[in-house]
Amino acid sequence: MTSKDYNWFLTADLSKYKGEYVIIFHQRVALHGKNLKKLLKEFRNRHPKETPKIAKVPEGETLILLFP
Amino acid sequence: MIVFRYRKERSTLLGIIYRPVAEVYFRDTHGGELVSLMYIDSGADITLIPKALGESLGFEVKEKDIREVTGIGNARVHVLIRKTKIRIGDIELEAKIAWALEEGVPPLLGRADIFDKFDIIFREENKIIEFREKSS
Repeated sequence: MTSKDYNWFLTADLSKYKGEYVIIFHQRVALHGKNLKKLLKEFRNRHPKETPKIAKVPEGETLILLFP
Repeated sequence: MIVFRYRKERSTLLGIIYRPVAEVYFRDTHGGELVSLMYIDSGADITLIPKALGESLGFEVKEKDIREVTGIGNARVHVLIRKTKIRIGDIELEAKIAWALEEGVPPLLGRADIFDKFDIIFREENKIIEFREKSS
């Protein structure tokens, strides 16, 4: 069973957060920015008993990795 | 069975594109959980996370362990391989993770230690991905 926040993320327009982390809470972007440590600290201060759901909004195209 | 879905996104190359996304639980440095919403990448040898996400899991850099991986166009990314516990739905497992020492990579759910624990079906026409736990 996936969370409501996951389902919200699937259709959310996050284009204004390109290159940033977003923390999703109650079906909205609660926090966003490039400093994830700071975002998580802020989230935990506000919602100590909740699980942060983090997405990284891609800046460019996808990447395929090849291991030697 | 866990059912994930596709996220509708825009690609500069392909226009509208649907990418499969998983909800993956990790243990953080505070002993709690955090969730990373990750692209499911059956072409990735190993799960990949960007630098800040690895730091949130308590990963530390050891210079001697740094490895280099390449992507399309010979883009090089320095990574450290770490083992960590993850949870997908109700299924907990320990998986190798490539921790990128940079931010310019998306979190990707790759095959190592994960795809062999499930039968995974990409149902492109329905925009769902089924993760069926393998019976032991």
